[in-house]
Amino acid sequence: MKLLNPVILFLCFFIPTQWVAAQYPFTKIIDVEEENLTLKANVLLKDHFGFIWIGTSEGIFKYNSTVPEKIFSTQDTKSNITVLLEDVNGLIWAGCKSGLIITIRNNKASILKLEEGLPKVAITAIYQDTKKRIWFATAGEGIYCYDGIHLYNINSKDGLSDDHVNCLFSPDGKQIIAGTDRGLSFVSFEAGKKRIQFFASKNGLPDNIVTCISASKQINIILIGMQSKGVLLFNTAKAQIVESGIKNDWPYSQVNDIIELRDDLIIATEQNGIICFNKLKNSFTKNVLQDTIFPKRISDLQTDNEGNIWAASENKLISFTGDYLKYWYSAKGIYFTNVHTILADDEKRIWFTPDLRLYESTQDNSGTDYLRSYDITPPKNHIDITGLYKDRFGCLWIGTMGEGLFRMNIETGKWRRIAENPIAFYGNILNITGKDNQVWISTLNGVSRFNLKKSNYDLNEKIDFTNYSKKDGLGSDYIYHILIDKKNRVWFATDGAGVAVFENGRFLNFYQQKLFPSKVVYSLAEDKNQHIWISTYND
Amino acid sequence: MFAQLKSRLLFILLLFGIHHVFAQNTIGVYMVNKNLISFHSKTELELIKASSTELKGIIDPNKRTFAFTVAMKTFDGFNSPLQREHFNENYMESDKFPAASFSGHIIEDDDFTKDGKYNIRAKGKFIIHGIEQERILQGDLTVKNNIIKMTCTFTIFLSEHDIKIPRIVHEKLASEIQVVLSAEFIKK
Repeated sequence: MKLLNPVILFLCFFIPTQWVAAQYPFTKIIDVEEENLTLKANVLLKDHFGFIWIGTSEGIFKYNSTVPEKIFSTQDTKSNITVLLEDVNGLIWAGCKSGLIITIRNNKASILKLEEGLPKVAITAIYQDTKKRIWFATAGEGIYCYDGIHLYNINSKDGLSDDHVNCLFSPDGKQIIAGTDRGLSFVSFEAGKKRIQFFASKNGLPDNIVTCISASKQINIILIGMQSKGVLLFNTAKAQIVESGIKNDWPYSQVNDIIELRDDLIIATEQNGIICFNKLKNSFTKNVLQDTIFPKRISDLQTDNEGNIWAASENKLISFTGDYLKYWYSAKGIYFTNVHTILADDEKRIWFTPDLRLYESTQDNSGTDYLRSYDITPPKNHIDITGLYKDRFGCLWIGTMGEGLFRMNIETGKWRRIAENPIAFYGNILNITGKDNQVWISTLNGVSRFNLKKSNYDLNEKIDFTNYSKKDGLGSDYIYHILIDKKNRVWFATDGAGVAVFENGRFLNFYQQKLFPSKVVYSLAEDKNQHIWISTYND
Repeated sequence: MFAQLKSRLLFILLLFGIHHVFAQNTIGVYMVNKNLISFHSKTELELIKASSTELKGIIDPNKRTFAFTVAMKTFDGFNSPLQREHFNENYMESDKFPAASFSGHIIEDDDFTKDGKYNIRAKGKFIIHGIEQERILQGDLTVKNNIIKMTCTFTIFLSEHDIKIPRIVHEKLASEIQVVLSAEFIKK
């Protein structure tokens, strides 16, 4: 069970019955510039740490969550970066328009020097195969394969469909698929033997100029972007085009990159910005970002660890919330305003509270949504619900502002107001959390720990509790948020006494002990490395 | 036996057949005039070096193709006659594999018929000790008054050509041999 931030207005599951594909809850625009010079963002890479790297017309930058930081620039046109790759050892490879190849480790860049020399035309793609060989595609010299000792060339004289190669991809890390100006070439290079097969217009490819190849979520399927015919699905095992809802009467210009999301394809185009293809509806949405200041040429796309989509576009980076976060503003005629708390429970149910009411949303296997409302108090006396938690018996705890605490049996819909604990009965409940047999509530009068017993399966059975206040070491009675960490320590975000932690029956207040300076703390979170993150007021 | 025959046949083809390969249209073809090809193996214990001026070769700037060959027994300048003997008999097996060769095409699209300096890469089949490896060799060309001067430095990895080094001379013979080639070509 996970309690989401109570002020979030958006639900991130698939329940929506109404949503607008073209509207993303959050977009961010980042200018890419250096000393007031405008750079052109050509290509994006996400490294294994999750950092976004930007290959620009003037070198390489890394986005540090605030601004793009320059990593490499040679002050000349040779460092016009056209492609980026991180290999399995964490080495960053950058290909340049000049044919230069740069490697970066620990933010230190060096130019690759090989006895064979480097290509003299633009590097258009870099790929690493399962043998850890690095493949370079070029705009005019075919493909190069670097095995760590030698650089090998594979070009039209070897049977490659064309020396102008736009992209590389490998579904299995062994056979390389090259998108060229004359269709697809399937290349394998083992023990010095080159094997190349074609798939071009004579085989049914609608456009011979293949501009990008991307992974699909379907087995043996890749997504192919073309210069003038849009996007198609290709079965690599059968070497044939897959029939899909994507039609080839494509009016949106050259495809530069494709990212497949669960329901959508996000398509970067040369002249029409980002196009969204909804796989369920077989429909396109253009002007996805709906902002006239966005440039129309999108050269590359990347997803980050959170699921945001990043687009490289002229002098800007644009990020938006793909389909992991959709704007859900109404369902079944109900407009979701003033939602103060949301709970996604362990049975894929969403509990949320628009306009002082409690709603439960579920979805069946066919994708049909169901919405059910509960009246904890009569409709004319609806109360502000501020906290939700589902306990080990499957009962929902409902905290209110001014009307205390309720516990509801989800199956029967019956509920009981927790009257046995005065601070719960009279209190303003700010937060509810729990783990195993413990349920903690925070109020404006301190905190309370409830201890569930087997008999508490019965809704009417009273629950044992212990109340704590600032006198017990909390430091403050105004508690905004409670977090139980993986070590079972209980953390408190207080107003007036910073952070406190409860461990082995004792409180430690970090502010009072001068261990942490912030006096006002709003919320707490634990990351996968068991670090505790603290949001503060004005610090 | 078959490998020996194949190697000899290849040597004959390369050495004497170069003219025939390009014979159909020899206009504008450049032949090696003067040359020096040398190699050295450097280890902590010993520096072995030798050279030959018997490189045969041809470049067709129009087709951007080339072919070179050198007979192994033409290398001289070793530290001792015994070293030369070991080179030919033990390592290169020069009777069995008499020549090294490199043939293929030039990757760059530059027009080498015009005077100028060019950094080029030649992609082709490099054969030594009867073992073929595809290689890209980088070199500099200077074209002036119908004379092409070429310099090229590259490395031969003995293991890639099945040239076995007895354990007893491991410390005296490097596994990577550095080769320096300079040649002047004149228009035929």
